[in-house]
Amino acid sequence: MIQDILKTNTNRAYVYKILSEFYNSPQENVTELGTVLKTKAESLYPQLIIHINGHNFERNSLLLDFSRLFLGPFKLLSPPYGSLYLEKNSQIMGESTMDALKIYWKNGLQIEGNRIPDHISVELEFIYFLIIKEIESDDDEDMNTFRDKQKIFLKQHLARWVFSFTKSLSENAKTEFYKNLAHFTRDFIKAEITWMNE
Amino acid sequence: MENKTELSRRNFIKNTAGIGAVVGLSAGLPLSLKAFSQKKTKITGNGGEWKSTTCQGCTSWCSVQVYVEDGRAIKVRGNPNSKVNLGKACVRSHLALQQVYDPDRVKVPMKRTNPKKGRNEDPGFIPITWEEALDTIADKIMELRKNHETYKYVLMRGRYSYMRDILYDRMTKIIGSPNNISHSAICAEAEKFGPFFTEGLWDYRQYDVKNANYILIWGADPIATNRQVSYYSKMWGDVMSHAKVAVVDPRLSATAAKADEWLPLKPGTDGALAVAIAHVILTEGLWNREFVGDFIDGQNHFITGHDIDETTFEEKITHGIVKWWNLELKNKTPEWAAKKVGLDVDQIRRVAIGFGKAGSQSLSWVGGGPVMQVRGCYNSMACNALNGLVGSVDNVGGTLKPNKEYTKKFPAPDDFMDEIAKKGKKHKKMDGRGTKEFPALKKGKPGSGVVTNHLADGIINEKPNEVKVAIGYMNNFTFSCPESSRWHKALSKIPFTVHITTHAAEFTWFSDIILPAAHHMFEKYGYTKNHANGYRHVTLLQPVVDSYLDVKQDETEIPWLIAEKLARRGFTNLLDHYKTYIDPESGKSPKNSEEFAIYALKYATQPLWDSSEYKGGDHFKNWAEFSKVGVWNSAPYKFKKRWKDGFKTETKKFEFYSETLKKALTKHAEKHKTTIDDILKTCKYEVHGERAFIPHFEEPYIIGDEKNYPFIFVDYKSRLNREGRSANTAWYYEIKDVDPGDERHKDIAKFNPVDAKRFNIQNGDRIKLISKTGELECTAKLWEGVRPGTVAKTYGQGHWAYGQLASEKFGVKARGGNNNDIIPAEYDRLSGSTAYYGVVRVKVVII
Ligand code: SF4
Repeated sequence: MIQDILKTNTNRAYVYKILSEFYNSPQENVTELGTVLKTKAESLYPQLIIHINGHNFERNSLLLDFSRLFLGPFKLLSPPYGSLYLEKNSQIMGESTMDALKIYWKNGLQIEGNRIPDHISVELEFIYFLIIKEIESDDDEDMNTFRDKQKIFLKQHLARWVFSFTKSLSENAKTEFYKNLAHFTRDFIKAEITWMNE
Repeated sequence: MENKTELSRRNFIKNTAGIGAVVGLSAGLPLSLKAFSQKKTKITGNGGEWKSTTCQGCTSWCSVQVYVEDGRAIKVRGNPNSKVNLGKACVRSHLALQQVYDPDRVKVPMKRTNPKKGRNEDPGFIPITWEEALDTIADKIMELRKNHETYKYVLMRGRYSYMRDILYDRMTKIIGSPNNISHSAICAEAEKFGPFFTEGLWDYRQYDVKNANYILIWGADPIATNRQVSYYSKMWGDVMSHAKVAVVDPRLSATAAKADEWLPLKPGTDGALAVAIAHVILTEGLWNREFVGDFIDGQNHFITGHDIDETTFEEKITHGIVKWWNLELKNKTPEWAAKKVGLDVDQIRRVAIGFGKAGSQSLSWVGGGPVMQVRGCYNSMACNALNGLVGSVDNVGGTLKPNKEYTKKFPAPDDFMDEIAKKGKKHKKMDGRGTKEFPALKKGKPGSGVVTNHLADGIINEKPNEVKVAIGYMNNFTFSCPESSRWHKALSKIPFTVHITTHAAEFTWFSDIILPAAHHMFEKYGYTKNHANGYRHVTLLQPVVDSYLDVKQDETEIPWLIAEKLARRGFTNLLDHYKTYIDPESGKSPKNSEEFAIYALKYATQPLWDSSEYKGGDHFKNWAEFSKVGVWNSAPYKFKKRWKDGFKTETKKFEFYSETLKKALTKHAEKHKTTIDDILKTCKYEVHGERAFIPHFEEPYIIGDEKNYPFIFVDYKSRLNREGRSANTAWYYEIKDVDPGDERHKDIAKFNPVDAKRFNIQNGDRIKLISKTGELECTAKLWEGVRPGTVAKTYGQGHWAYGQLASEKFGVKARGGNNNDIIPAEYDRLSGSTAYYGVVRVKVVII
């Protein structure tokens, strides 16, 4: 039983972490990360692996698509920031961003480098962090606390906007990679919500 | 429990290691946290605090405070410590919040991947590191140095703080180029022309509205746009209760809407109105005896149509009153003017007499409207000369110069300029200043003023030479200069361009590298100075929020980082120079870009905060106190000091006959081995002979014939433009109706209902305005606040590349229309200024 939970959590941690990576500027390791993701997702939610193909990705075309979608400089096609979906002002660093930031602070974390606190990759990595905390917990109570924190964070933040985001991403992405990423992210978070509620 | 814990930990670690072995580490999969660190965090949670900085939403440069909570800016107010803006901030200041938190800001350095440049070429920008960006820039500069062609480097400056010289002047000189080109000539340089050639002041004035009884405003809108908008907005209720206000403007400005008199004259004819007012003042005997002097016999011989013998008038602090009368004023009656300017004779007379009677407490306020025109410099002189007639210049209730302040210049670059630099710098500038057709007589020195918009032609025609490397900062000449299409061509031609900017704009579209700049109000160190209310302040720009973007300070950090890269390539001069900017407190030389930014600021402002160097004005104990207060105020104004000490003109007097201009024009003509008359003709002025040296009326120079282009186009700046950088903020569109006559979410061209009937234009029609230069699309509106025969439209919209809100279809279709697409590239050549107003006729097509 414990082994099962542990295995599930380890796989979950990897999926969150790799997704988080995928929403950063694409590096050389995209293809390899995809392979790991496939292994991890397969044992977690086998239905999701249709979104992962084993293609090799050309970094430059990914970079171009990444910039158009998430970075600009002229206009973001699919803004990767929570506040853009949760607030009406189309601004970064909104109230909802500050709420996420304060949750990180409460958990002893500070934003490292130049990252906007409700960037999708930051929120995904935060859940990854909470899963690791759950895994590392000394007792059931701690474990439950960290599991609850994941649930609450998903409910109050990521899950409130991620589906609008992935919809926009799947519509605007030019590359197969980001289209698949949109679908995978959407189905994964959906599956996570269902699983957590079980 | 123990067991489980052990098990879980071990398993996780084992798994982790496993993954690492398979792909993780070799593929760079970081299992450690990337977005977070686990340093101790302080949660403040105990409310926020007001932090002092500066707004540069326009050149009012108000000292402001930002309310910061948990590192985030919440709201803005005027800094109560400033004696210039008195704790007030205008509507635009708040838009800054939507700028700094705009999702479309440039977040990281980027590079172009599409080698082709053009309006229809998507640049294909991708992110790069600061390292890569700076390395590329340094390589390009080193190549110029290696080939001894450093003069092919151009620095284009838009809005700046007074840290400007680090990047604009010192870096350009030490690299070895003459080409640091500022934006000033697309701002309001011609406004300074009149004051300089009458009273020796090349600067913007302050207006003593507290004590003025009559305020005559020419094409300025002080409660809406530049300058000291916050101060004048605060004062205006008061002003209206004790002074008469008359506004000369073809459209009903915010200030005109509240004024006692609105004089909607034909665009460009301000000079005619000004000389007619002068005529009335003299014929009615309303001039100031103490300042101007009087006829020896005490009688008034200023009789319409009569010449006067100069020896009969004893002049005091002015020069050339009788010459002015004989050469220009004697026949310039209100009746004559009424026909030229298209106003009622009675109104002209009424305003002239009201102004004259208020005596030295009446002020003539010259804005950009009448002067940023092809022959605007003479309007500038004519309108400003009225202050001389009534003796309000330098007087209580009149027009004042800036008070003294004591900031220091940055260390001189000379010792760091090597042979390559010295040779390079000797080349001619790219903007054509000083050529026969561009006298640009800044401060009376031919060829010393900038001709910003003409740089495009220099680049296109490779005259005097080609440009190979360019850096632009906080500028968008591709949008803000008339006949913008020339800039598309020019920038497409430069092989390597860097844009340092907070927001990618039309200029960026043609660039090779984008460097993300810190926002001046929230993320940057610097200072600015300005004057109003009888004071001058020096106000600090300071980083007041936590920034989550990978931005750097444009005027300090970026040149330092470039200098480091150049040093690594063997050229250490620039870095060696920057290292001389010693922190006055610690005596230390800067070691990195962050230290450099703050040391440079402390260095330049030292006499304001270091009590051992105290020279005057507010007194501070130390830097920490100054930084917290955020602003230094000068001593109060010393009225009439220049009456005693003399004006900085050739004659030391207030010149109605400008010996100062005569000297400057003579110099320029001699340089080109020709006559002054020839120069004036080349430069498109009507005048010749002696009248060239006096304030006089020139027919406006307007492009397009009335038959084919029935409307004179009246361009003016939206009160929501933060130096043209707010077009991607939601509030801009939501409250656009703060511009009188405008509507929310629209870009409006306003027609008088009389014209609308004639041309069958309806409210809400989608229209094209077409000039000989180009066309734009917008929405028509019928409005009485615009003079028949003209169409008025604010400048500010019409971006095709500025972010999600600013364009309709990004990169393709603009939202609204850019006035500069229909305004031709024309100049007031004596001042070098670009003409925006009264320069073009348009026709209307309903679409
Ligand atoms: S926009 Fe101009 S007037 Fe308004 S607060 Fe800023 S500097 Fe002052």
